[in-house]
Amino acid sequence: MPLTFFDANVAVGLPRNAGLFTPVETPDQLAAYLRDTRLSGALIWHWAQKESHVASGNGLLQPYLEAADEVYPCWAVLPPVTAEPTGLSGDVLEALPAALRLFPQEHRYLLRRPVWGDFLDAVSQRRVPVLLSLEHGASWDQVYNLLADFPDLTCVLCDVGVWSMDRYTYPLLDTYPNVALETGMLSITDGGVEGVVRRFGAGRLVFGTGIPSRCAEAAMLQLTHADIDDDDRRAIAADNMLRLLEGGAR
Amino acid sequence: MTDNATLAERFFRDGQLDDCPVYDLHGHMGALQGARLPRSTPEQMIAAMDRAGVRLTVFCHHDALFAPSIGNRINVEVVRAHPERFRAYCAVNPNYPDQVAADVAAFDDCRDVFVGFKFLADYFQVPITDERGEPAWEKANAEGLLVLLHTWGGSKYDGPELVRQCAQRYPDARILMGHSCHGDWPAAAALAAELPNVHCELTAVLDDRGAVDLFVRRAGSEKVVFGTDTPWFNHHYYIGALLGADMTDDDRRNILYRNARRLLGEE
Repeated sequence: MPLTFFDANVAVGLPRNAGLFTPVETPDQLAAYLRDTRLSGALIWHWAQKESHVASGNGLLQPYLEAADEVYPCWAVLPPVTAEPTGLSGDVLEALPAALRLFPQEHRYLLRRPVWGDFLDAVSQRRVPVLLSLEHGASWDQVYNLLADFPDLTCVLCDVGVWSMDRYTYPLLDTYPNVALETGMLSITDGGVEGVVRRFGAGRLVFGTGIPSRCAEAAMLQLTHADIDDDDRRAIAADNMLRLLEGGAR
Repeated sequence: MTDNATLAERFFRDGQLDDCPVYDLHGHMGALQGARLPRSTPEQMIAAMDRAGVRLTVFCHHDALFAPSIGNRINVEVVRAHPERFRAYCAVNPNYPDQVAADVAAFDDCRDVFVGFKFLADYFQVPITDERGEPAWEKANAEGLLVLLHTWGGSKYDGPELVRQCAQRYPDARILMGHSCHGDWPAAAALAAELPNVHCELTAVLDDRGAVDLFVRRAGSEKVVFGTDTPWFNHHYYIGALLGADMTDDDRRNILYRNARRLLGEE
């Protein structure tokens, strides 16, 4: 039976600087992408959340949520201490977000307790997944600092790098049980997915592609033929991320 | 599923295809300092090749490139232990010109092992045009051997303009632009389109969506060869990226095996 894939790492809208790739510019294009690649759904973020302002980007994300049944938003937030607008109505956590994204590099804040205080404690308690991309806005030092201060945070590390990153990721997986890796770039490393499954279990991986910068079929073919059990394959392909989203409120 | 199924449908179903073997023309082997490589022994690499239908890998062992004290003998040992699955590039490190001369002199004793030479100029910090590498270039030019270059956009050691100089100076050496002048994709496509002896190679290209589509559009799929940097990168990931790129299945067959067979003299 073909695998059902849910993509945890899709960027929508237009990036500031055009690349060779074709962006997922409109909600219709997102629907077409999901249909053409036979993805059941996606967790999406908008380029403008990172490159313009979280308020602009969050505002642009809403129309894409209607593209298909299983499309969920990653809302971007800023440290509460400056009380800036985020484009989200009311208290962010009371609105029960599906997932959050942080961009500490571009948005110039630290991932430390003095900056985030009670907010990330509440995010941890409500098990809202926080996505951090090593390609889009976070460094390994920042990730280590964040988890040292908020060890119970449900954290999905995306775009972990094209070379084997096991020396960075394994200590985190060893130390923090609520950390998971998105497979888009992990799957480039030969044996990378299999190594994590054998040592930490399939529950620590969620499938993603990095569309539109990367090609969906690449990560899909790797997971389809990875040297792991079929139950583990199915869990990684869709079930694990959907379970994490249930930790938030979708 | 019928024989009319697309390569994508068949690769997703079967993982490897007898009628579409894969030739990986950019491999390495062994551990290296910068990362843990889970499948870096010859036996582990052969198992990985079998999963994806990789018929042959042409490699240059990390120790041959990064440990001059070991040098090319490790390539010879591996290929002679696994002659059905591996061929090698003879590493050329111009920082040691006496060793270059010795390796070129010994090349004919290892024709069962080597298909050509490998330059890693950005790491050796010696331009590919440097006279200390000339013995290898002259040998490749005289005998139509492959030369796998590490190439990178903007590099003063192996950037596009230096590739052009080498290709014009040695027109019978068959040059594979490893990484296809990484990041300067239009320059790589232009070189492959213009110069008969220059080919794009796909290692570290296929995680940048759109690049291989550009090569095929501008240079033609006959000028693109498949490579993965194995044991760094996963074969299925790279095959999948080709399956998702904008080209025909005939183009994909050119890239996956036809061009390699021609360059290796198998056709």
